[in-house]
Amino acid sequence: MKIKISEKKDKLWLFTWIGGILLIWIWDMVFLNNPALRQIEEGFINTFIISFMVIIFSLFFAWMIIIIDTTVNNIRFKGIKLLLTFILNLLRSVPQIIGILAGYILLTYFITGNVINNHLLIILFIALIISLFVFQEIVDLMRERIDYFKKSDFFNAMSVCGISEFRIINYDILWKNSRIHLLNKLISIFGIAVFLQCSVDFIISVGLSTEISRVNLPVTLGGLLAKIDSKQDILAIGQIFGNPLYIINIFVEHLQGITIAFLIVFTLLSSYKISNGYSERYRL
Amino acid sequence: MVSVVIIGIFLLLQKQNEKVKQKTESKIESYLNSGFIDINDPLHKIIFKETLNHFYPHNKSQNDSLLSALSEYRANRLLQSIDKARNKIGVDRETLKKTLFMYLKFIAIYLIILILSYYGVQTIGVYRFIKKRQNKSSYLYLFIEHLNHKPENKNRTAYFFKAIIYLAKAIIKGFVYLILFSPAYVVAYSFKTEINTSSPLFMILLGVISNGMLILYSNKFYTFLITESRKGYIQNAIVKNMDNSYTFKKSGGIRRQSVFSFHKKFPGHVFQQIFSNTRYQYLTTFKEQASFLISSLIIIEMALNIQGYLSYELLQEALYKNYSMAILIVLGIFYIVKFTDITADWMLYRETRKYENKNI
Amino acid sequence: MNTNNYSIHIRKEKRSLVRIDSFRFFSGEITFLFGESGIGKSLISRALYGLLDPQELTISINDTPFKQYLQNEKTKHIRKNSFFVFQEPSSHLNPLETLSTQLNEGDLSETGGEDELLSRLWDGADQLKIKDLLSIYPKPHRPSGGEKQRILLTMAFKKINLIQKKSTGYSDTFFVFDEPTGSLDNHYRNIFLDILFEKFEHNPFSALIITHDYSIISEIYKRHNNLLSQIRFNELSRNGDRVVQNDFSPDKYLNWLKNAPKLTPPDQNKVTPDNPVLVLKSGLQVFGYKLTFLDKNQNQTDIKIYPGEMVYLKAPSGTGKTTIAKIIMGLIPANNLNMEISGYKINEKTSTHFYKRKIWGKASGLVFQHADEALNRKSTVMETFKGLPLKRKDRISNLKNQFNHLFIKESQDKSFLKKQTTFLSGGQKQRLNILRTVILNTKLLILDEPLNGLDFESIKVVLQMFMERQQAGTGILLISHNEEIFGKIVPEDKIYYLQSEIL
Repeated sequence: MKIKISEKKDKLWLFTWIGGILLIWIWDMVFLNNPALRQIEEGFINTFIISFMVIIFSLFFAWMIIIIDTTVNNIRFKGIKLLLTFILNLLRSVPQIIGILAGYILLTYFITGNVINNHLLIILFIALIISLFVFQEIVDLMRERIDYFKKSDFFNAMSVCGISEFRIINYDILWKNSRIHLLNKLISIFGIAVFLQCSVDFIISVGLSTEISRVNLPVTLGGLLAKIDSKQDILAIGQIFGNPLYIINIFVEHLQGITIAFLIVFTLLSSYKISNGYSERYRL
Repeated sequence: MVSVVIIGIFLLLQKQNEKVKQKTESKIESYLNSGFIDINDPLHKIIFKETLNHFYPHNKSQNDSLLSALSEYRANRLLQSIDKARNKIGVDRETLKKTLFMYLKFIAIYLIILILSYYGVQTIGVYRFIKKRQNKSSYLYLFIEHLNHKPENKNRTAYFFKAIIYLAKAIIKGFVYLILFSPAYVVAYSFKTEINTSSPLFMILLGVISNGMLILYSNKFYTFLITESRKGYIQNAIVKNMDNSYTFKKSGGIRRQSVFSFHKKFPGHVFQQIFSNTRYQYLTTFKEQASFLISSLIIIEMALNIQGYLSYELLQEALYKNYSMAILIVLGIFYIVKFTDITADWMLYRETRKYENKNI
Repeated sequence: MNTNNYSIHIRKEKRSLVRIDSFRFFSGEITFLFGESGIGKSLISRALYGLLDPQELTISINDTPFKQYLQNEKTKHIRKNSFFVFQEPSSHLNPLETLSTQLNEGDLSETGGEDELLSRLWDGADQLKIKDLLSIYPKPHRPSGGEKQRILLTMAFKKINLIQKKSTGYSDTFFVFDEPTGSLDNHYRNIFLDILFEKFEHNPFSALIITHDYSIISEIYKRHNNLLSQIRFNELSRNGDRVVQNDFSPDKYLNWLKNAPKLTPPDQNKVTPDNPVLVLKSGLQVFGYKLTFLDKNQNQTDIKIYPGEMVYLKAPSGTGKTTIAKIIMGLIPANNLNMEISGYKINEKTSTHFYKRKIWGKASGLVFQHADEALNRKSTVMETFKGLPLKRKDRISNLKNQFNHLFIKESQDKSFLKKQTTFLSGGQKQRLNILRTVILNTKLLILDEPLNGLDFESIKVVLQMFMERQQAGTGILLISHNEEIFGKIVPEDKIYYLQSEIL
């Protein structure tokens, strides 16, 4: 029997990602204690939901900005345009990680002030904060696509036929001609969201005492990785360099930290590979 | 303008914090005065929690909040005592001097990583492109192809040996990929027992290889190379019979030395045109890469939790509610971002002026 | 003379792009190849020259895989001894190298002689001007499209010089000129033909010239008829899923031209020539140039178009014909603009908002020259008409009539309406592009290079449609480099000349 590698690398990596996660889950069911496994499951699901919501929010914000852009251009009201540009530039000027950290501080205020006390709302709020600092990548892409079509005859040729600008931008350019570009961007936004979320959770858990700032924050992979047990598991990797046979212990005794680190890194790698394969397939 | 807005937000938060603190303290006051509970003792804490759950079984979440409020109060008291010991609320000359030193260290590390990653991104991108032109397949693909072509009885040992070599190479490549995609803290903790992870040298190494920056931007550079190589002017260079061979050779191909040199030059080769146009394109994303690097560096410094680094200091200032100092650090970082933006724009402007015939 | 016969099949994934069982080119002869755009002329010639990417496309030539074809000694010889002039000169020059560098790279560095070639292709312009031009980097507007085209032609002629110097013989030569005159007006086109035939006479080579410009035939019959025995006219057309190469009889075109239909004024009972649909005053200023219109006696005048009139605007390439169309439609701002469209007075201060409300798709329509850019290639044929300001009644009856008129063969195939525009041939795209604007029934219709990409049969159908619109009372402004055809159809007093001068 001959083995074949699919040429659709995006699909191949999507299945590899799902397969990899299932494999490690089965392995953990055998070798990892139950409470730790439950926590990892919860952390993974929360991380996944937050990152997925980041995609939804980011796409929504970006499309709203484009719609406002078009409307503002039409009514020639420069004040709104200036304000919008200022807000966007302000968000862009703050390094993402600092902005998200500030957002987390705000969230802890809301939780302690009992403004937000529902688990789902907290998750949505975290997704909202992250999307505020990443959605401009989609705005940039949308603007780039619109500019591209405006520079060619496409936009003008449709306009002089009496087709409305709203339809040309939203339907003909963004929906009909940029869907695959947007989907590709959303895949990479997913990776960015996982990365930022895990990093902030890790920083908060390590840098700020867990007792102080982890006020009922949902369990995520980054937070779990910062736990002392997980950190010791990761530290154990270093021992392989002195004693290569120690690798066996890593996969049996240090599973909690290794699983979490693997889930983060493998998800990042897979999202990159999926996005790459996708753009290769559609020659973006 | 940016600093005005940031200061405004923080002042607002500080005010809000005061209100919340007063409210929470009144709620937990009665428990604080109970002499029988020592909230610092984990055993007392668990017993207290279970007692609350026993008496108020339907209010488990409220019981948790009460417990965390008590813990927070304890932590705040602890912090207050530390604060007193640090005596550093506000910005004094000594703190400023110390922070300035950290700031300069941050800039130095940032610049070194920027230069190294600039070189790394281009070198990896070019190398990948040349390998692709040489029709080199991935090791995993070669391994599978090898498995698909089983030999006759002869040479079985050689066949298996070759398969193992391919598999080993594929695993090593996969391992390298995992490192390149690992967040800095995963890499750092993995090597912590072997290496001094708090040295600036390790910080630089981590900055270059971790957080996916090198791989993401080298991939971007590679994609630019592919896009440029499909353009019309490259076809035109090919019909002029310029050198178009991608084998590694000293003459009549690509010089390996040129690929790894800092100033990459490929005279007389079609690739020179692809490369120079790609590098020009890459200038437009350089800003993006620089701001990614800043975020990445902040993550590294914060996550590694090592004293004496700017971002860690920022985290500590935020923790001890010394917001004026925290704001100052954020502003400092903001200026680095802006300075990089302006420099990148200027470089692009200079190049663009030349190619748009405005220097004539 | 040898005949080179090839069977070629080019696929992308599972889709067949071109399949031709017998493609012929003749050693030591010049072949002019016509056919609607998108039929595969460029693809076939690129495949034969070895310029396609085997990793992207699956190609077989004479039933051998492309990789093998590339390793063929004959292919290697051809690539060594020939040159390929690409269409779209703008994208075929390196934006980061001066023109001078690009004229002296690779093989071209082995031979000089560009001074003489440049001087001829620039119609005897002085050396200083040419030197100045060569020192610049190619950018979208400078040099102009025509100048870039002439730079590419200079490269090809330099290569011909080199081959002739080496006296390699013509058997392994294959000079391809893909739309070499697309950006040139007739004057420069004729200079190009002069040089080409001169060099060919001196020492023959094999050349394939891909073109849509049927008026080249007249020029050859007029001025180069001594070489007719070494010149062939071929045409590619579709036959099912295959492309076939046939001889194109020059008489077909020349006779049609002789008896070309003349415009007649519309029926006075149906159309009353009251107010003009367009008045455009001379003297408008744009991009540092002043544009003026001249009548047949070379006197300055204003453009005036009444209902039922077809006006033809002529100009050398690069003068700003398309710019005029865009100015009229408010897409490019111009100073000193004084214009009237269907009674609406327009000047440089008129806002885009006004055009949206009163002009676009209502008082006036413009057909852009590049259908590929102007259409949404991701839409189906039917979707192309969605979003247009049409009344329900128009949508059903008028659209159907006009569609059947322009797409005679395609209207038999019901699935055609659901076909994505990207999969249409170039000629079909151009007809769709025209139909999208014509269907609006605007009083003023501006047509920018409407015959682009059309084969001879489609040209006749499209011209017929324009004449029907004119008869129905539409005022038409034609902008085209196809002087021979429109010069015959449009009466002399309705032909204007565009002149530009630096301010």
